[in-house]
Amino acid sequence: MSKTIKIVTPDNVEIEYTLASVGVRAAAAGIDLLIHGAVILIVAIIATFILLSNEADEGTIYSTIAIMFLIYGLLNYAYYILCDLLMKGQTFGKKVYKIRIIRDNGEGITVAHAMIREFIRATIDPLGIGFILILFSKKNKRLGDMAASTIVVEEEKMTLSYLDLSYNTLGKYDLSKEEIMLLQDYFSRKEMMEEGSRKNLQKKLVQYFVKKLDIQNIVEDGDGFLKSILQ
Amino acid sequence: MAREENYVSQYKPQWEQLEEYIKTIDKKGYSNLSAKELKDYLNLMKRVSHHLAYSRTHFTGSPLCQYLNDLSVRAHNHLYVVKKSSFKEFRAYFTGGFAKRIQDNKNYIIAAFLIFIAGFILSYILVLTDINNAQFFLPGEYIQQTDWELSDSAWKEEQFFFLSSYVTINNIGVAIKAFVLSITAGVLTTYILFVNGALLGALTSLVAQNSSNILYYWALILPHGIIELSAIFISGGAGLRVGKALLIPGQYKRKDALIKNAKEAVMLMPGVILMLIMAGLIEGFLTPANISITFKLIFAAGTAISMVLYMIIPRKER
Repeated sequence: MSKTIKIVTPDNVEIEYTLASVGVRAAAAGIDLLIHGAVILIVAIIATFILLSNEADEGTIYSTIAIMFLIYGLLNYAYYILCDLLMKGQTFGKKVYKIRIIRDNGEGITVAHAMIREFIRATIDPLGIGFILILFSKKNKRLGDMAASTIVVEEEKMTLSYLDLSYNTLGKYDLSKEEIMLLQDYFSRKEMMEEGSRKNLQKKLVQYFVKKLDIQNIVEDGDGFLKSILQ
Repeated sequence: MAREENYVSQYKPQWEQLEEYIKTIDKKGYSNLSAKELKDYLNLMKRVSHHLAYSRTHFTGSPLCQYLNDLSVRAHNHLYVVKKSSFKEFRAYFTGGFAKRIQDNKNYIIAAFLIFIAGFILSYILVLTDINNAQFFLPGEYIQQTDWELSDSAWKEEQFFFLSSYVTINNIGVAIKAFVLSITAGVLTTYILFVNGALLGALTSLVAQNSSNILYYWALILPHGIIELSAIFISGGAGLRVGKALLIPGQYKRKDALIKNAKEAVMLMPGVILMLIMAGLIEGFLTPANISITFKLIFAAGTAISMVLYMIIPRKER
């Protein structure tokens, strides 16, 4: 069961966020690290070519090393801050997994939050403290989240099509909510049922719906019929 | 038909409309909405919150509640979470905000300076009384191998860029550590400041005893050192502020005091990083360059004066 957190909007309505789980956050962090790794690899390959070429004089060699230092510094200190600010609380990894950093009160993060999170990530998190804390924290917070009072939440993705699925009987067959849920339950669990009792249940359901919907034809394919009234 | 389905079919067009707006904002940002559309968006958002409240009461636990909650979350995200920081804010920070924050935190910065100076004086005196004490602060080999006359620069022009970038990244790391490690109630921040002061003290003491012209030494340190050390004091001061909040939280809970003070103190860091980049450029390109000592010392005085002016001019806006 995923953890949720309630936030009261300015309209005084409570909305519920789902907190991003530890696994998803680790995966997002992994993607960011992959990006870092890819950049470093490319730079290293280019640098190797430059350094191995015969024309490289002392000046070029030192400049190459200097540029590598700068890229390391940018990746280590600027990447997360810039991403968080420009992509509104997301890095590329977080974007892939559709999670976002927000403040405890539901507002967006500012420069201050991004910096606190990043500085702690760069200095203390490599010691592993951040990861241990996240496991014990009530709101899945690492040390940077605690100091900056931020949480990482899932971007909700339920769209109208989901609603259509739940209410798609509108107009076609007049089923009640309970009946739809019963049918959905039946289809999601029928694979796990024992053959005899499944047939028994299917028969009962078909009988019930035939009677309710006043269907004249003789129903041969029970599952097909039940599916058709659900769709 | 059941009431719930009626409700859905009645309001579905509005939800569709809101989803449409969210998609547009997602792709192109607010600027593509006209004033009327924006008003419409806010209106719809408010209505959806009402629908959510209504369906929570009347259709408890139904998929509709879940859907409306998710829709509200997305609309809420776009209104409150998606905040753009502008270039203007950025400029305002460096022209005034940073100086204002230094003034607000000057007691902490002075405290950081004093800790550094305490380390400096202690090691200076220790090395002055017995030159072997320098081994506490500096590696022994380094002491023996260094030519304390310091008359000719050891760095070649090809290496300047390398030196500059290396020093900058390294210093930024130290500054960030001095700030972040204050989470140990300021103990490690104090330690970092003290040790760096002691290092400089021992070095200065060694040079003072061995070199014939100490001006060489100052010309090697001061042009970048004034900005660099000030930046370290400021980040140390930011750290001390967080440390103090943890030790003496006052009317707040310890955790809340930490959050509040860390947020305010961290806003000193962009300025610190810019100062360190400036210092790094000077250290890489000007300090080792073959220029007369007089010019270097005048330049050092120039950095000191302009920095003091920047910090002292009274600032109002935040």
